[in-house]
Amino acid sequence: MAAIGHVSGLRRRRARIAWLCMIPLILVNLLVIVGPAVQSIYYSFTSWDGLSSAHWVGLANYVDLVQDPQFVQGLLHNIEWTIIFLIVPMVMGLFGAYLLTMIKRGRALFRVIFFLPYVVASVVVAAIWQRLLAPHHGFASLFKINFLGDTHTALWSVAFINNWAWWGFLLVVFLAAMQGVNPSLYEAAELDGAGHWAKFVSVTLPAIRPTFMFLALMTIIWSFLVFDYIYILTQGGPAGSTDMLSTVLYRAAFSEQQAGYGAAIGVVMAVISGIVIAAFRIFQRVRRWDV
Amino acid sequence: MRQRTWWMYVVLICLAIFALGPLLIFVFDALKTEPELSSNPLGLPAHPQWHNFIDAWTQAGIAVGLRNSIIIVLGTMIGVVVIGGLAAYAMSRLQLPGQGAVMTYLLVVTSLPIQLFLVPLFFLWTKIGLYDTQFGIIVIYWAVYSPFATLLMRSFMIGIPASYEEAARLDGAGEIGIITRVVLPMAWPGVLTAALVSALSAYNEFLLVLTFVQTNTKQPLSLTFFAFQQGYSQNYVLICASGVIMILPMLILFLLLQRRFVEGVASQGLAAE
Amino acid sequence: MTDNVTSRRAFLGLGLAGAAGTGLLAGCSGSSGAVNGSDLQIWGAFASQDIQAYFEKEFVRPFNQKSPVQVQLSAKPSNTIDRLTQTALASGAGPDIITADGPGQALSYARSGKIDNLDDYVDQFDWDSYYLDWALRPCRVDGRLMSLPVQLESLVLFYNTAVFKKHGWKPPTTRAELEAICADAQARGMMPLAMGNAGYQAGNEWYLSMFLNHAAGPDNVYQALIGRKRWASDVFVDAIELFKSYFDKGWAGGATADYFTNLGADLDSDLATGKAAMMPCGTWQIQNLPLYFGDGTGSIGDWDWVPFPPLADGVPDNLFPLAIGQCYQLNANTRHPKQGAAYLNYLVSDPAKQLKALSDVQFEPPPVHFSIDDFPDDLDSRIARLYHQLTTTKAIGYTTWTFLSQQSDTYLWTDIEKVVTGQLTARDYLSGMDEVFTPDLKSGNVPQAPAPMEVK
Repeated sequence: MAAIGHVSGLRRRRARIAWLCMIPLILVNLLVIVGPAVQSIYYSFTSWDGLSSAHWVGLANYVDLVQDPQFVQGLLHNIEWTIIFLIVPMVMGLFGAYLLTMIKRGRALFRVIFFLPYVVASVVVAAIWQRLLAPHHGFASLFKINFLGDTHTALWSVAFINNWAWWGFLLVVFLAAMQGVNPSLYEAAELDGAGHWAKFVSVTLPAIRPTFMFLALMTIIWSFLVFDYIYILTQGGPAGSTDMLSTVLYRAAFSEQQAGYGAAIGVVMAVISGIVIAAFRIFQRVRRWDV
Repeated sequence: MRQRTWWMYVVLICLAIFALGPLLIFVFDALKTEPELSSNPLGLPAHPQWHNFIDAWTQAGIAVGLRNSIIIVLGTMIGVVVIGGLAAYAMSRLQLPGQGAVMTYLLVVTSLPIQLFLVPLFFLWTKIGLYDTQFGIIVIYWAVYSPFATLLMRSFMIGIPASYEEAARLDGAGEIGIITRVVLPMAWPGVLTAALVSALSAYNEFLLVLTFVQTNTKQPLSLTFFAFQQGYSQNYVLICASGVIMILPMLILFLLLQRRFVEGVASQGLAAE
Repeated sequence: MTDNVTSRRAFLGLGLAGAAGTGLLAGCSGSSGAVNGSDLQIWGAFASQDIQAYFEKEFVRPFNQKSPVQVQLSAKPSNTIDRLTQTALASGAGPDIITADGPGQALSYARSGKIDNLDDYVDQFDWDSYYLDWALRPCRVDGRLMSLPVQLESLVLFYNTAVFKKHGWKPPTTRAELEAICADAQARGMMPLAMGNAGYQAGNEWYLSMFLNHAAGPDNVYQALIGRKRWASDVFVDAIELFKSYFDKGWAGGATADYFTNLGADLDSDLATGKAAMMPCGTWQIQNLPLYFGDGTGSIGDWDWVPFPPLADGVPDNLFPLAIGQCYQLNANTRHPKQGAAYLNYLVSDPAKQLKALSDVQFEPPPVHFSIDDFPDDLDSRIARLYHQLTTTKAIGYTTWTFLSQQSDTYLWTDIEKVVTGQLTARDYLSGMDEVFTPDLKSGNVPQAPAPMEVK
């Protein structure tokens, strides 16, 4: 009897300590994000211009939104961006990290080199690549294409630049996860006659699955929030070819003085992210994985 | 058994050129004179103009920007690690009730666009007097970067076998003892990564600090550089030089932390055996 | 048990210590906005630190020396100052002296109710006779004066004198002459018109304003601005299609894609080194162009300007689209309204001083009456000629950023990119403009434009 009481008391105490540990996070979160976000939800139902008082308009903003070609175009671009970033930097990061686990010398040096672009601020990265991709005197003049100015190539160019600064981060995280893999698993696979690809698929990938799924999820979420590089490099142009939901929002709230409409876009963005996460959690539960 | 790895080195070297090349060109450009920049955009400078760095330092107001960046970065980093670490510990080792819901909540919060809460946050910050203060932007960074740090550190802490913890508890260790003697050493790479990521994010962050830090003498380097680039767009050489100066502190920080990071992982590997 | 309680306390202690320590590190917060402080704070954006220093020396310090209330200047990056101002105003803070990006923005700030009415001070400072006849009109909202105009600007055609001499060109005065030079320049591998919007996407509005006024004519533009003519009328459709045709021919900054990546600084350099023939741009270029001409810059010749030629019959010669680049406003929450108004007056008064600033750092003067004596001797003759003509011209046009509401102006310069890249027809584009402009006009968000013949 006494033993059971002691155990449940321990559990309760642990729960209390646990919640205490959560307080700083929750507090700062409510203050900075949740509170203002709820206010924004309110504003999304108004015609607030960001300056004077807000007038209730109900669902008008959302109705406009769905019919707004700018919004739809931005959404499509975000989806395109997500697909690009789920493939290119992930493959590069995985591949590079795997190679680094396989080689004997220079691992630390390579890791530093690959991580370097991530360390550089977006404003500086943009300055570097704007120069390199300049149509007439840049490195890209060899290709006779104006990468950032042509509506057909602009989005891919911005994605390319962002990827250059991003994949190294993925590599380093993957590498850390891969280095936790038990080497005897590789030896066992080799004894079974597995080559590199088989080793990668049967040993490495399953072992780093939590990290991999986590980064894939974050990639999707961040792809819908992307803003900095677009804003610095093309401001959503040319002719809206790099317009993303966040630049549409920004323009609505600050250039067109439609803060209520901008808030509605923000709410939709949050809802999209919510759906993605929910799908992920359901997928997780179905497959019984733990991230 | 480890033959034929030369092709790996080739691939890695190609990737390294891809990663490093543009940066090197940038550094080279910082050392050229302006006419040389147009005639020789990609190559090594003929006569390195080291004074460009001094010119950029004074003209771009780097000393002040650097000081502000350090304050903001340190404050953010410490806060995020403490706040996120506590939460990660609660979620991974203390079996926080309602853990799944909290995790979903954190993921949702990480996905909220900044612009969603920007203007109401501005109202609030002005009311409580945190607008245009460095502490104010630091608190915002705590809120924005802690969820990711929590999830990251948690994923490292989960991997620690419960047996170590039980052993420590049997030895009579209290909560703090467990954290310092069992959890922290094994989750150290995670903590370090979280610290580094939050420091980097705070250092390079642009939009929030632009809105919430108004006085020029309080602004960090990201704003200083951007303003410099906007104003002096014709003197690309100085822009390169100031960009290089801006990169340096983070680079040094990473190199310092990086070695510890490797040691941490190595010792974890040893302990596992 | 005791162990855990202590350790829990230690936990919280750690956390709190961390937070407090950071607070100490960050230093004291200082004043959060001069509206609550004892200064008059003004926010401004400057092209360079030298120019900012000049402003401090000539427009802040002399006032502070004579005034019990001190003015404090806080410089902001030029591409974000309006957003900073907007968010600050929205929360009841913001500087005492507000710098708005023209009458359209000043109007929207005024509608927020956070701006002071300046009518009380008009007589005191005699602004009605000091300013040009048309100048105060766009700054009136519902009949009340809500801002003071500064920075008289216009759009003209810049060119390189040596380049023109070399190829035997004369500064164009008709459309045919302009297009002849463009074709010839292109054949020679030069950029006919140095145009681009990299770094400042809204730059589209400069070129648009030029074409709307010079191809459709200021009378038609005025009719559209007061709602008596639809934007989707034939005369505007023709103007926009003409605009697009210049892009298609590769005259607008080179290939259409190049227009979007041409940086202003590179264009300035191209004009100076002879790679570009002409540059249709704002008169503020008098600040930038001189930096690219002269010893050690690799330039040839010198710059000069002519009015942009009329592009259709019936459009007057020597047409200057008018622009007010900036407006000053007084924050309604300021602690020192009287001194604030006095400072506003100080900022725009003394014509000789304004022109001296024009000469020294190319500050654009306010739209006021100048006499010949006010022009300093050392003022560059080209600039003197420019401002003499600007303040005495009878043929005025309407720039979009001065005479449109913010929302319709934004529509104008964002969607024109779709027209130019062939994704939107001129007529659909202008229909869209009607849809945005008409409700704005009804709700009084459009600044009042002076009639074309009102100028005496």
